[in-house]
Amino acid sequence: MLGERIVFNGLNSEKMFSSETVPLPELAPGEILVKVRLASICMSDVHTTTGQRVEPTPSVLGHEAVVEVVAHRRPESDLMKGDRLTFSIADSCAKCEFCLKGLSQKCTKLFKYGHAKLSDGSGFNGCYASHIIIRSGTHVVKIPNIIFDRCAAPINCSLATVMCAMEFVPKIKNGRAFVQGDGMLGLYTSVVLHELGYETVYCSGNHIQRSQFITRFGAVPLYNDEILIEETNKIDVVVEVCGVSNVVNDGIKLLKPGGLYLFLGMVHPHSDLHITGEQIIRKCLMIKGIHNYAPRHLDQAVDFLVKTIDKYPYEEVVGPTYDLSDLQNAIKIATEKTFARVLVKPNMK
Amino acid sequence: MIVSRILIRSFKQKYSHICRTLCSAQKSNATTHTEKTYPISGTRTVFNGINSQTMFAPQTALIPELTPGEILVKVRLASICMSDVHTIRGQRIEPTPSVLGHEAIVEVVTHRRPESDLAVGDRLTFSIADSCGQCEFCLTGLNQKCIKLFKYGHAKLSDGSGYNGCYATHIILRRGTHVVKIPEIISDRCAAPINCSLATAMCAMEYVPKAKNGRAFVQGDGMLGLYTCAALREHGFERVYCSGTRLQRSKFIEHFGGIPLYNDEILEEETNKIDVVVEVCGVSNVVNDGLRLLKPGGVYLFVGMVHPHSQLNITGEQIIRKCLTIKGIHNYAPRHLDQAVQFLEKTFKKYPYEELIGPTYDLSDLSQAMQISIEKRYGRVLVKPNVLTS
Repeated sequence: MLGERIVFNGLNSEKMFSSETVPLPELAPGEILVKVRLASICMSDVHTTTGQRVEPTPSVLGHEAVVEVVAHRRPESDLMKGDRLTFSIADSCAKCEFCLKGLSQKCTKLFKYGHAKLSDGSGFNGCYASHIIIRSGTHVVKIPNIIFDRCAAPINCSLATVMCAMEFVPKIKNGRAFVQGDGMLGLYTSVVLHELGYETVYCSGNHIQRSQFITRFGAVPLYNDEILIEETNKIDVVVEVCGVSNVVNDGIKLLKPGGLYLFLGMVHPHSDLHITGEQIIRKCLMIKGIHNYAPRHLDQAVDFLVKTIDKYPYEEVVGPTYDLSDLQNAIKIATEKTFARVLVKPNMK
Repeated sequence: MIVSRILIRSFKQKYSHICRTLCSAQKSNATTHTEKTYPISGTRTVFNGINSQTMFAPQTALIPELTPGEILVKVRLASICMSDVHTIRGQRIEPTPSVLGHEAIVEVVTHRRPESDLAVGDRLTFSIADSCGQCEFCLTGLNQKCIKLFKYGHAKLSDGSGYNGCYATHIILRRGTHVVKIPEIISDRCAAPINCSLATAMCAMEYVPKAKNGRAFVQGDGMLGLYTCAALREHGFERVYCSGTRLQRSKFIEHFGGIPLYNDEILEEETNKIDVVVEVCGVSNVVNDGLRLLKPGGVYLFVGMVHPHSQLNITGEQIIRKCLTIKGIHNYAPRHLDQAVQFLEKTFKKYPYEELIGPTYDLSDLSQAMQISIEKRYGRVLVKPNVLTS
């Protein structure tokens, strides 16, 4: 059986993306051969193609997708051919100190789909491909029928990461939160905080056209500095999901004493913080960095989506689908940020 | 004659019996007066600001009657916290005129807390913060951020009676102030720094996870640093490094269970291997080292940098990629004062607390005592007021 993958050759190469068709290998114990039903383009891949992030090359990018079981070697599981799955971005060992304390994303033997060299294993390591070989340390979760492919694709990066962040958010009576960012992460965070019982969730961003989505995801769109001034020292939780460090000073001002600041988006070097230790100490603040997630968060993500799929317009924030061969174009549209997500679908042979 | 003497004696007996009854009734009701005379006045050293002609000036003032919930204490021994040193050097601003000083061991003169078991002569430590017990911060255990916060040693002279700081003969403890009795085993010298330094370290410890074979790094070898070393060791941490600027403190660090670190090589080896880093030196340029040393999922406690010149030179990426937690610790809540006293009592013989404490100066010599503090030769310099005999 053959599989196709789009190889990323790096920014400075003649052809940034090139297609390659190669035989799919035999599976080793614990592995699962899946075909990609629908992949979505995470902003971090956009940053890789614009040079703000560096990934090993050559490689197959793409780490968000809903996939379907073709074959597997997990006899102890209840997996069946045809099952739709989401899967953990991180393949982890389950034995090192990090896996054992629930921080699998920092496993000493970490492997990340969409972030690995082509020469690593079979090379079917990313979602911009017809198939992926899911490794033995990768947690998978079945997608219930009620969740369509378009809503399922972003689960295993964006939504699962949000579930990880939520683990640190206290249930607070009449809680007030502020989400800095109106992309996929921002919208998911808004809706999860809303479901957690937060009374007021503000959400700010750059795309005023997103404001109607923000409202429909349970938050108050914030494109107005006046509200920021009124809410100084009154916000229980601030979540940075825009990847830009200059919002942090606002966030700190808004937090009430004892408040919590979650950092999710700034996973790149141009994230200098212009804050003082005094600001953090005087208000007894907690800052928590959230990078990826652990297996339990993937389960929580699927459960959350199942519970709320009819309540919120998840389908509407997802944009058009492009053929795998059109990846470069799809990424360009993703860069424009007209849609929260742009999708990629391989032609199945 | 004999009859009248007998009558007088029985009258005296009856009278003293009545007196005793009255007095014990008074004691059990804890009214405002004891058999001794209520002190009419006390002395406090007023801080007039660094630009004034006399920075410190003694002032004798009346001690008012207590209102419900208040405790009149005399200061047995006060210690000079580094934040007061920063105030007189202009690195911190406090309201003026004021009475500085917020670390002390005190003794009950009289009180109006009938529901308590306080007795005259009790040695006490007391919370720096007077809090309301009812606002959202008090109710969530963050009393140090009470909306009606009052802090001893940080208040204007005109606030209340002005007996608001420890560089004085007396303090009037307000009704929202938590107090804890000092067990006999703890000497005055070791008790004085409890209610700022040690209690703050206890508050910080609340955020330290239990880590099997845990490794910690304490950045600072002052009072906070040494207390934190001992507390981490008692918490079960296997290896506690402690760094600072005074090589002469290295033997103290060892006595308090830490591994003195004045050598960058060890720092390199421990990159990504430290579970908890605690900043207790007040200097922001140590933070990059701290972030580098922390292992993924680690915790960074910021305790010392309570001043504006604490610019951090870090990126959001550093915090995110390692899934780090940074927690700011400012002052503490009532429970931490209890924990501090319990901790000191439990470990009093184990660690050389006395050796950290330097000389005692008379209250009238406060300026000189501050000078010696600035030199940082000792963990703490003490101040003792001449107490009016009562």
